[in-house]
Amino acid sequence: MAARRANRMTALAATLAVAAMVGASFAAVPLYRIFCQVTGFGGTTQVATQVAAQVAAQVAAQAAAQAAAGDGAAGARGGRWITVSMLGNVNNSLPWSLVPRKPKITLRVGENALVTYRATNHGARTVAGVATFNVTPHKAGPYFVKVECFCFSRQTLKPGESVDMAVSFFIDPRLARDRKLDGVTDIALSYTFFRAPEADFRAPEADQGQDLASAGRTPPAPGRGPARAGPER
Amino acid sequence: MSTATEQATPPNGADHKPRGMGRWLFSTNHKDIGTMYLIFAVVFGLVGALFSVLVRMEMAAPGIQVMNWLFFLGEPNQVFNVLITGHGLIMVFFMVMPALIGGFGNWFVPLMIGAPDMAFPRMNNISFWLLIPSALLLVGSIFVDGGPGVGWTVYAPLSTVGAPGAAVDMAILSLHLAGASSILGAINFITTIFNMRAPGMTLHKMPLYVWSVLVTAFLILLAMPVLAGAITMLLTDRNFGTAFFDAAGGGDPVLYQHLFWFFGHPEVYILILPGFGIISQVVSTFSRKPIFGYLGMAYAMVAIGFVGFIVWAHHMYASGLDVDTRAYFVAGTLVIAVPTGIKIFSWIATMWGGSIRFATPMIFAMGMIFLFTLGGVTGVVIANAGIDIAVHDTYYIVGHFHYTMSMGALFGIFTGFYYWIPKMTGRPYSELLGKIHFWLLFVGVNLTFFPMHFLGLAGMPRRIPDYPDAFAGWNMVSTLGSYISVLGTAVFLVLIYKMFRSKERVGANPWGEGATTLEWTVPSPAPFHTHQTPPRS
Repeated sequence: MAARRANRMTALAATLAVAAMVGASFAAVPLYRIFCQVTGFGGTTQVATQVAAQVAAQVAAQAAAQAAAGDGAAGARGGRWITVSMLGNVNNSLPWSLVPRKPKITLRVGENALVTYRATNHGARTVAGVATFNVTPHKAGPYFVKVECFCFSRQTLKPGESVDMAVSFFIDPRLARDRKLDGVTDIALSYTFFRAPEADFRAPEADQGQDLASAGRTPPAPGRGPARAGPER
Repeated sequence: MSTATEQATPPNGADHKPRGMGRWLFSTNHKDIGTMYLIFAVVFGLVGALFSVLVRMEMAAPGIQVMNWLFFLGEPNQVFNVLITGHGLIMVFFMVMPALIGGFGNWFVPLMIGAPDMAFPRMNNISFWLLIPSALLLVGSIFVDGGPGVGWTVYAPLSTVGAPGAAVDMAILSLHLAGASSILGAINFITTIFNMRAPGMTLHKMPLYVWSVLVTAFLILLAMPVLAGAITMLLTDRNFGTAFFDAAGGGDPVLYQHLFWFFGHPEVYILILPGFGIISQVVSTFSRKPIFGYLGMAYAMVAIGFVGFIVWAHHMYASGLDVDTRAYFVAGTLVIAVPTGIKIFSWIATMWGGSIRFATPMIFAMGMIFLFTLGGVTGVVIANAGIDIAVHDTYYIVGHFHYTMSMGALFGIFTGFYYWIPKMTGRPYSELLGKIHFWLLFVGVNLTFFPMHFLGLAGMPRRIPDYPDAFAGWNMVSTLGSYISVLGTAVFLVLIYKMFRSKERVGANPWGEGATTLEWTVPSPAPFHTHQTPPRS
């Protein structure tokens, strides 16, 4: 009897291990997303929790403190200039085009910038799209901070409609103090629009039909307002 | 035996052996289930080999040849990919694992630790019989909707949006069943090895083959559920509108690669570790010496198993990992060469100064050590991300993993076969045919796979049935090599046939002095029930 009990306990422990690993494999889905957001892995950009000026002030204060402590070399020297190139791609399941209004801008770290992309629906139907995004080089991901972005939520375009979609961002001044980013003078900001799953936008389309019709072809506000802010990314 | 039969004979004979089909269908006997696993492995080994020969025939010359004969299966490039997918999955799940773990494991783990049977005999029966529907689903999928041409890795998005039709769903369900089968088997082995050893046999006195099965069982226990999770996500992405691996819905196809290789890398050690265990038994037996560095050998396998779980992304250097991540995975991967090196050197040290007999199992074991080392050396080369990016998805990789898997694992299986078949059948086999089999196979596989390194370095990509004329020469050599291996396999089948026709019988221990483990203390063939009273050491 003792042997049978021992067998059962061993088998039970092994079964628990199997269950835990199945659980872990599904838990990997949210964990992987959180990991990318936190570390900027794969060029995942950051979402602003403070405005650029606050960050800049903090960094300056830190630098001053370090300079006072005699660690002058570590301080951020002035504002470093970074050139940001805008790239737009559309998955071929979506009959859209996505063209940046300006191909590139040059700005100082800590400086707020607003850039726009022109998105046009060339298809004959109202379609919703979702944009994925990252920056290259990937190691700049943790320092690329978005204040507001059309990629935070799903965008819907009527047939033939064109809108300007805005991104407001700044580059964290701490970039200038990370030795691994010393050689970085150019950052490419890339978006790819995918077709949003049909089921997800069909239902709201019915409610918004009138709304969209009255809105006509006027470009909507950047990010289409806080009311439609999507899941945090 | 004679005293047992003189007592009142029960209806099923002295050993209560069930008669007819019921003995096999409802079997709870570890030897019968092991036998069924071995027959299953031989049958599907031949099917997998047929697939690979068709692939080599196609690759013998530039252009499309053989795939045109298989027009009834679909478009030539798709058929080619279906064949390599089928070859890979069959060899992994329906040949190597059933042979090394289900077959030899079931037969010899209880015999070697002095247990009367496995801990859960009926679960053992389920483990085997789950494999049959699994194999039928996979083979059946080839004839449905153009077949599963997605590679054994089943990468999304090719396996989600890129492969509509029921074939990939069938392949996924087949993997689910094979995974469930091996998880149940792993629980059984762990329980048996932990709780049912003969008195006096501590973990540190267990034969190394039992150690290898124990480590393998833990790898299965922890890796297989992750595969089950990943392919379940594939299934729901394909059929129920989820977006785990679909960027449009907020998913990420690279996550599939992470999940797959978190299973896939331990899986390659699941395939090779039992082979390591068999080689240890055989080298020790035929050198007539105890294994050199027993504890080091056991814990080297534990170390390989552990490190095997934390190096998975070396399969994904080309997926855009950043430089720090690559540095970690390069270093981790190189570390695996240390415990593996301990094993290789300990085998050589066991042979050193031994009284070596070059019997068939021993030459297969030495062949395995040689070939696995070669595959290990190319493994150290491609562990380096900088080189791997250049040869990723080329024939260099195909050459590398066939040296470790096709030759390491396969030669391990044949080593075990020639070592233990006299114990299983009670009959001797032809040493001459065994040696001819070895030399044909050894020459054949080297001719097949060594040129693949040249082709890969020259840039020839995997998974494509056509290639530029510049690659024609070595591809022809490679194909001729595969024909020699087929000849070797024919010799193997003749050897089996002649063995079963043989009227000769062998004693309990045909190998003599060096064979010290418990399976050689019971008669040959091993009776239906063994170790009913625990042996004393």
